[in-house]
Amino acid sequence: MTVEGILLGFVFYLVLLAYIGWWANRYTGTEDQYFIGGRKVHVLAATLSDKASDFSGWLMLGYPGQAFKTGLGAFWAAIGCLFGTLADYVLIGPRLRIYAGKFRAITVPDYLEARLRDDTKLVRIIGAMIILVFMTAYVSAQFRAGGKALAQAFGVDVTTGILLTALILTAYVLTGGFFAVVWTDVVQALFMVSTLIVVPLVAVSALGGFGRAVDIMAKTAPTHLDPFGGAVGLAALVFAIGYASWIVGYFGQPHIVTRYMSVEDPRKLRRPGIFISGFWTIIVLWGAFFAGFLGFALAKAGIVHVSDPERIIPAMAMALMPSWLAGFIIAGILAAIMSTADSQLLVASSAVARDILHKVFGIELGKKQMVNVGRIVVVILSIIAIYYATIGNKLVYGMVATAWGGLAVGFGPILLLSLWWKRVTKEAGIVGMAYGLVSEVILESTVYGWEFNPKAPGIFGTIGAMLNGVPVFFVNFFITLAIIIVVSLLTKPPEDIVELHEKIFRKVPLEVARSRSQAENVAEFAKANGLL
Amino acid sequence: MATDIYIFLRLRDMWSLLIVPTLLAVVVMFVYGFWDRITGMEYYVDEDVLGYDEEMLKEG
Repeated sequence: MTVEGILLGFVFYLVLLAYIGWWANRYTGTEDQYFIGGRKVHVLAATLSDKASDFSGWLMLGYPGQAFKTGLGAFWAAIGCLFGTLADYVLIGPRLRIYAGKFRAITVPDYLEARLRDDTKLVRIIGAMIILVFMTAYVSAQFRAGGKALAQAFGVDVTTGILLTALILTAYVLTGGFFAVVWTDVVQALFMVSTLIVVPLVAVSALGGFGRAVDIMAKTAPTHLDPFGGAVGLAALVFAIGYASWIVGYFGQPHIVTRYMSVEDPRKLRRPGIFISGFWTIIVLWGAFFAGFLGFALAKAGIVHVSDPERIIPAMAMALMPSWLAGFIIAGILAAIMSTADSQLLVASSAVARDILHKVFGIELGKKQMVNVGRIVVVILSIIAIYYATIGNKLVYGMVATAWGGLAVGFGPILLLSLWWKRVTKEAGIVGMAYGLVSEVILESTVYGWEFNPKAPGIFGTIGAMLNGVPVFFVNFFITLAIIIVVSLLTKPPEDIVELHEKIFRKVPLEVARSRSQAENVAEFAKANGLL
Repeated sequence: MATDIYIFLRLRDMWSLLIVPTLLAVVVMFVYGFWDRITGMEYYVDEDVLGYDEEMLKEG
């Protein structure tokens, strides 16, 4: 295994990213283009970018680490993520794109402010705060994951790995904005899926067959072959819910739902959108699960040596593959990390540049200057994220769960209800989002951490004992949902907003809905005449 | 013999957990993906809803 060989695959990947950043830079002139690609991103790019942004270092390090430690039971997390992905397409994507186009919304707070007719700016301010707090935490989890992968591959310490990851990532978010992020995400989605097909196949081959892996586990850790990790009765149910709870988080992730706001046509999210995302998700989740599951057998057989279960994929690449292929695998891990962190940095920078400076303080800068302000914010947030990556939780799985949970509770309930219930009001939005922000920060940072446990003080300890192992955000999501419903029923939405909600989602016979729009005719004319 | 039966049962549990939810997800994909064909209805979308950024068309 030579470092030069690993570097070869890795550098090839970086050169490809740099080229896409340069190409995309030509298309980044205005705020609309920088943050949501002019609302006209091809459905293939938007959906692959959606999944590449969704699945992060968690997929390549955190989740295989859990499969390594828990075995078969960890597959419940894959079930939660798969059905969360589908739920986004069924319940969020098309309706959010329709409203985003109607309101000319660029960010999630943009949409919420227009939908709830909030003239107090509170929805926008609270939304921006939720994004800033939890996105920065999320980006720091990605930097930590990058640090671990590079440490395993190149023998550097984790802090150096974190700095390298931050440097590469920030550089190309600065150059290209949304177009660069979307198109590099497409390349990264392909790297990720290739990595997660290759790694389990190599693992089975090294073990001498799947049966041997099962045999090793039956002898050394029988609970690894149990769907509930050895738990029975109510404990088994809590075990499964604990892992599958990722599903509710899907409704509130701004870096994911912004992709739906950017797609060229909401109807394309139904077909082919859900098929592209759905099948891609199935392949990567199976791959990541088997990488960790088989990695455990490899470690028990003494074929692979790993000190931290979250490093099992890079460790397998180093031990079982030729150096150039290991370089591509490391690039695949970095692809997962960077494709998420770049989208998150972009969303966080839009929260400051667009939501706070432009819309709240009314600072009117030129479009180019506004894009530059966004870039400065990316640099500042990256520096904060580096700090937390070096001092925070050592487990990527827990760091991601904390940030995922904050966004899930802060945005999930209000997004879901505002798209499907005409009665939701601005008062309910303000109260629900503020509760989500404050409760998640307190419960996750001081009371429990990311999952319920009996160690919390007083009554919290009793609740923690009952729900031991269930993520805090899963329960808090439903509490926030209930708060928003109750406050909405106690207040009254504007009549014209209710009418718009009823009108905008009307359905028409297929032959009318699928006819070509004027915009499509104009786009075709522009292309035919070399204007586009 | 007892070990073989144990492994067989564990493998059955394992493939059930992996395959049943995955097949269910594929069914959801197809039902939702073709829901417009099944019902004959779809959301109404016009230029106002598409809301393309006109400057992009010029600069692109």
